[in-house]
Amino acid sequence: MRIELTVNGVAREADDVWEGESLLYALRERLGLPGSKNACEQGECGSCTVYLDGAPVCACLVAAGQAQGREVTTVEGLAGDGLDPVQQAFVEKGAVQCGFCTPGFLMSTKDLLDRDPAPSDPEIREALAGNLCRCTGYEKILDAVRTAAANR
Amino acid sequence: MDFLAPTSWAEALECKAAHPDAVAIAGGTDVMVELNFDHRRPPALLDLNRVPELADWALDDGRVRLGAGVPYVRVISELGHLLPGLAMAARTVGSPQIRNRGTVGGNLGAASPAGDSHPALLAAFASVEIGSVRGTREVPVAEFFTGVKRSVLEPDELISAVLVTPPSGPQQFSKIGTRNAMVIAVSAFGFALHPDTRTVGTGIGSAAPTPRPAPEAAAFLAGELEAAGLWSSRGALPATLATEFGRRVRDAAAPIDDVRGSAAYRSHALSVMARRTATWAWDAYRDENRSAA
Amino acid sequence: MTMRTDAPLKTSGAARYGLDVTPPGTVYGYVVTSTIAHGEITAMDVAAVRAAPGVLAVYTPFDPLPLRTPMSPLLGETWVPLQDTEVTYYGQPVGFVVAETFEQARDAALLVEVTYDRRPARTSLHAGLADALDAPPSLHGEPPTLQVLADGVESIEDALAASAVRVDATYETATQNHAAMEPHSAVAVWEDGRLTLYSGTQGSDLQAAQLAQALDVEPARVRALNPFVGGAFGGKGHAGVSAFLGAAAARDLGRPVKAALTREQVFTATATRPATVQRLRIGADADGRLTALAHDSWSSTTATPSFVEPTSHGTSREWYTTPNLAITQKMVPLHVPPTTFMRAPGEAPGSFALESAMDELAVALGMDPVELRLRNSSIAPPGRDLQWSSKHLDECFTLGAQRFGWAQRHRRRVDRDWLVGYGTATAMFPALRFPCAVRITLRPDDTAEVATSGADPGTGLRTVLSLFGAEALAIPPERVEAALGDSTLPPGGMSGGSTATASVGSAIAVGAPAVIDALVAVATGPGGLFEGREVAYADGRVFAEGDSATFGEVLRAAGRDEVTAIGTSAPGEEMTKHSFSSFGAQFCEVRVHRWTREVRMSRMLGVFDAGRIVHEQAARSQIMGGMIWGVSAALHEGLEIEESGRPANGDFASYLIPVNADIPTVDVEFVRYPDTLHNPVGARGLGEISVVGVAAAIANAVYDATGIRVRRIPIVLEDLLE
Repeated sequence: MRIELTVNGVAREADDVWEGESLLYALRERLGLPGSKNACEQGECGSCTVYLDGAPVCACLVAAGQAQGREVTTVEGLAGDGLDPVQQAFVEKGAVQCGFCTPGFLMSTKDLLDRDPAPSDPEIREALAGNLCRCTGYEKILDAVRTAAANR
Repeated sequence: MDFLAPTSWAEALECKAAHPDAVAIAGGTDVMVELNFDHRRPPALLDLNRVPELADWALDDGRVRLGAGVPYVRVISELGHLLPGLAMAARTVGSPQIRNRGTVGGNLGAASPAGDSHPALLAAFASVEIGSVRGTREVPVAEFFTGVKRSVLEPDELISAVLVTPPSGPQQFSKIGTRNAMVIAVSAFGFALHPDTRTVGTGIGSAAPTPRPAPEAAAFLAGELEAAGLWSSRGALPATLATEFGRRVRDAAAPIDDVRGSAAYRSHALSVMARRTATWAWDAYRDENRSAA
Repeated sequence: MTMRTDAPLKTSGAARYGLDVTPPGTVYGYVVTSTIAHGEITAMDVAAVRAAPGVLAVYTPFDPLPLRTPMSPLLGETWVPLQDTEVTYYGQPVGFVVAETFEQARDAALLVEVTYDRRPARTSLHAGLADALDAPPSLHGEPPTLQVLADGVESIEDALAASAVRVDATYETATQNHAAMEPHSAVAVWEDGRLTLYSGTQGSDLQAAQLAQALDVEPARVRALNPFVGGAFGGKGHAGVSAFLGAAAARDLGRPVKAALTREQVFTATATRPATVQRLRIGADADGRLTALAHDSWSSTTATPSFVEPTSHGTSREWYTTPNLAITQKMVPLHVPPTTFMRAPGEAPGSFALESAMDELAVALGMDPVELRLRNSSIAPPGRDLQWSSKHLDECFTLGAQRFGWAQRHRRRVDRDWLVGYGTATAMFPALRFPCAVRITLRPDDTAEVATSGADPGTGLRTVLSLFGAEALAIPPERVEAALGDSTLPPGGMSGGSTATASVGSAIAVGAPAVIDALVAVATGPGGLFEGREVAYADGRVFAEGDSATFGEVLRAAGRDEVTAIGTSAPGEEMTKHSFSSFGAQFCEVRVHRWTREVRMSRMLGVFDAGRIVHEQAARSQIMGGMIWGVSAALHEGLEIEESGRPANGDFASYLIPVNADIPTVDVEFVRYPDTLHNPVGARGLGEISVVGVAAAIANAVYDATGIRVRRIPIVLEDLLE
């Protein structure tokens, strides 16, 4: 089937989408946006986190057809000119290791700070619980979120 | 595979009648895992995201009518006062990403014994509103589950809403897992005091083939409270009574050993959770009286 | 501090991992895996698969892709799939379906009908203990069974029997999977008989060499690229099935092939850390001085024995001074997924046993566990005369104890519904280096490039290369570009064994003077800026008397595009003079719920002696990550293999690793003593030592909180029922 959606502010379309296909697959393999990562396909790791109509979701758990006519934002669309303050904070605090989980963490962090500009540490830890990091840079990530909150 | 995307409830029911093999998908948090893992290849997906009738909740004839498509995040932010037990359970569901998509209707549809909503709905004496082109029926949650991942839903039926009477007393939800978040329950328990009817609601999760209430334990506790005049006096809940209630809840379960926990642990945990949630709820009930006075 | 040079690309989503590349015409491969643990495949019906939409090819043991078994000095043999009909574990790759899209390949793979001649599967480590086999020799070439006895002592049993205080306990650790966030994957492209392979691996040159051997092509015809690797932890040392099958199928089909394992497949079709059983017997005198130490170890391994977890040789062999030492290492071949090295192989599970037993000894002695460890600290491994080059473990413990508030541990601590306990443990991990070559290039624009094939699987090696290059050339790091993750660069070996920083640092220390010599030759040679004059190099400039020029100016004046030199290094003479290790002291505080028995971490501190710390941020990240791995091992992760051989929890919903909300404040401190006896830059590894000891410290803290000694990890809720 064909799907039409807005991705990072741009109207996009994809043909021959399989009906059971995930939004994640469509983004990565059909729309040339491999920033969102595939690591578990069951919503446990958050590596594929994107915004669907402004709310962070696991793209692996959204059927591509469900995104028809909707707005999607991926890590590639997070920044305007230069890096977003959240991205900047992750760079500054060294909150990247292998980097595979990083796009998902950035999306969750930005959403958290949009909802709550000054979260407490427990709130940060809870808000990022859906993003697994196996290098387990959780402390640096926490630093980065605090920094991003302060810099916004 | 077909992708069916009805834009009204009537159309959704027609789709389901015409494609009884179609799998309904709302938040996708269960269905997509099964597709991604190749555990099923249904002939069609029936997307309910575009059905406006499912997307909201309202007070209707004295009851909360929670549309099957309302995501957990809205249960938490909007329904803490009307469905407190369910809102507590919703907070323990997965992660923000999952709570943004997952729905109570979907949780019921999947009918997992570990579903987080179920103990709270059982304790609140909720009902499931089910529709088809043949009409609408209402099934108490306690009668909804028929087996592991099985329910009373007929092939042409869809869940439209959950119906719950607003609480007349405090509700509690407790869940045990080995992580602080992203937890599939090792076991869970929902508890509700219903002072208007002088009854007690219970719901057991992850400790039997289906979510189930503990009716004998609930009747025992309600009866003891009545006999001691505690509903009226709002005196303290005797520790021995809470402990005995916990024991009886434990006896209502039929847990198994699995990778998340042993049957013995589940039994222990249920007795602890039942004792503690009952005590917390009763203390809140007593506090209500004090703050009212 | 210089920021991590990889951070901007990784935060913008622009970093391209193996699977992120999609060349025109790419087709998709899906691996089919076995559904029995032991037997022979007698038939595979793939007619329906071939007829399925989009399917281009189906490969099976009956219609295989030709692959030869590669052999490398570092890794030994690497298994290649589909070459025979034997099944020796559940989830073994037995087929490969290639189709126009991933979904078509996966859908079609469901249609494969496999007929097996089943045989009984051995899947229980416990059942196999009685007839376990001796393991191969240790890393040091020592026999699996080894004894060091004091003069006049007849046997370790005699030494134990003569000890005033004794501990005898058996410990168990679970099978684990590396579970890197990036599943094993590959994109293979052939052009003019040359293969380009995009695939996350711990060493691009090793990957290329394995592929060249497997595919029987000239090594120069294989280029392996891994500029970004989504985590590895030992699990991406050997080339994987996606790489072998993807490359071979791409050659067969004349199309680029993209192949990735699903998360479920990663749990069986890659490799795991073996499960272990370990018996510790320790004897001590009344003052807590060890008189005898016996460590008997059993490790699961594959049906045809391969990797064995060296728990006793990795710990008790070296850690403490004892006049009498006895070590055994046995293996139990099972029909379970392949075994391989995983972060701190040997030391991580070995330290759970040894450091739990040391805690039990401290309890038996009524002695402070920190004091017990200080009292028995080794100057050299028992029976070896090579002393530790630079050991400051005592300082780690004393500093750590003070910082952690260890002296408070005697108070009975209950915080509302929570029982609070403290635990400690020693951490050690050998300091190693691998052979390594690094090319240093000076360029006319006054920048330099430091290049080695290798890999940065998240460790920060790319940043470290820039820093070492800048230091050796005495120019700012911003002017040093690191090139990494391309097998056509000089061979950098493997990011593994906590070796990479010491290895590249040593090679750069050799290469930088060589490239400066080459620069000087250009400056003073015919047509050079300072032809025939005496010159010296400093701070990126060439100085002649009364005159100087940047190296870029020198190169431009001579019309040169670059000067280059390759520095190589390998472990050598130092190994005959000292023993080398990193050291650390782990402390933690746990809370156990009085009623539900849930265990939660509330505080952690690690103090480490890892030589020079090159990049503070990356070093702390590595250390914290390892410590959190220890939490995971103690409280969360373990692959349960059912009697049938099927993993009971091979996905991320049930193979649990900690989430952010599980992790408390992690405090990290270093004692900073550069170890220039080990290598010229003075840095020892720190990627692995951080996980060592943590699980024991947690189990010890759980004992402190509850009085319940749990001798098996992960600790589960029911272990703590009273």
